[in-house]
Amino acid sequence: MSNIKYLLLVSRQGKVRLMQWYTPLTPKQKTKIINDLTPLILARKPKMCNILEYNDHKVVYRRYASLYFICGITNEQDNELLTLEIIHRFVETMDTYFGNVCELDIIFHFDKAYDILNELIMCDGSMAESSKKEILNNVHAMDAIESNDHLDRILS
Amino acid sequence: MTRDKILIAYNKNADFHHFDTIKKIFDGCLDTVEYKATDSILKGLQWKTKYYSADFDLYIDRYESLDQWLDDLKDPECDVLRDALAGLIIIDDVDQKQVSILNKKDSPTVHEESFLVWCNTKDEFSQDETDDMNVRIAVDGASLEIIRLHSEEMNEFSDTVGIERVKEIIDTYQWPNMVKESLENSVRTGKAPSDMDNLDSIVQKLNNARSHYQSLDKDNDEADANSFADEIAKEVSERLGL
Repeated sequence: MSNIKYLLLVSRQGKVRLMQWYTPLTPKQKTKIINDLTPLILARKPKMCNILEYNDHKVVYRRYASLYFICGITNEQDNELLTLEIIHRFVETMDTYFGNVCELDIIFHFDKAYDILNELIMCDGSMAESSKKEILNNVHAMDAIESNDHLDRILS
Repeated sequence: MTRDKILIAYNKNADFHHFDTIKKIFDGCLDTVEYKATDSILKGLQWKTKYYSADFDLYIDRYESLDQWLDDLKDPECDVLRDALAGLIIIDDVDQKQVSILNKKDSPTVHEESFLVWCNTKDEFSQDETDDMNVRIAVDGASLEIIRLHSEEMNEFSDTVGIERVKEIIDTYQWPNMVKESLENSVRTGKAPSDMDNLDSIVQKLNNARSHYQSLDKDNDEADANSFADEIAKEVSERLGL
């Protein structure tokens, strides 16, 4: 069981590429979390622990090339190692969808990255689907619907 | 002002082939223009990725003292130049004191949206030391990144390093004048599994459309019909992966 509070994707240069909030927070609180965590995590050396405490909860992060995937988790309900696996599953799924995903893919197709994330994690922060195949099928089905809409628009 | 100029500065007394580095960074861009190694402005270059292309100018400057050069760049007289910079790349031996000057938050060297890169030419400075230095810079929340020029492709953590990292930074810069490639071509790396299943419905729609266009008045709607034919040909080719 997981109950993620938020997931942020930050580049090595400190630019936020994706963010998804699973608990109700005010814009001010969200900005504070981003402003606090970005320098804190970017300043950590590669061999340092991927789990740290922040305010009333824990933060689990993992770096893939130039991107940092940062998850805020609930102390009592979440498992840190499971959260690392969820991050890894998200990256693996994007990697299969885009074919060796890079920062540019996420910048230009953030909608697809959000689609994949929404298939993986529900709006309450719990895991919705663990199967990469199933997630990709759903995202491809969405693509097909979008593509058919496009065709319909041309034909009409 | 459009930030579409990249400024490269190097130490003119250094025993380093700076133009080789510039050529490596902008390898594909320099093919379309005539240039000499002594040129200080190269105009009309194009940065291309699979998602976009962007026109930019390359300014190349050299200095004797970086401190003095930075002071000049930060001078209000250079405001116009700084406002036009997509990024600044310094090619020199890294120096902690000058890194601090570049990092000063109260007097930024470039606009916060622009990139700031120091290509370190010092060979004995290892990738680990470079990573450590970047970590210290990140603590201050600055946007400067030190790149070790002698590193190739990736380090042990699969981070892109060396020239490839400089290219990656330029790739992810938000070019204000970027021209996007057709997203239809780049987004769908995976084919929708149901595409071919829908072929019958596509043919049916095509037949309906054919009947509809046959009934149109030839003179008035020829342009319309041509445009339709072009669009449908493109759509069908995309679906068939042509």
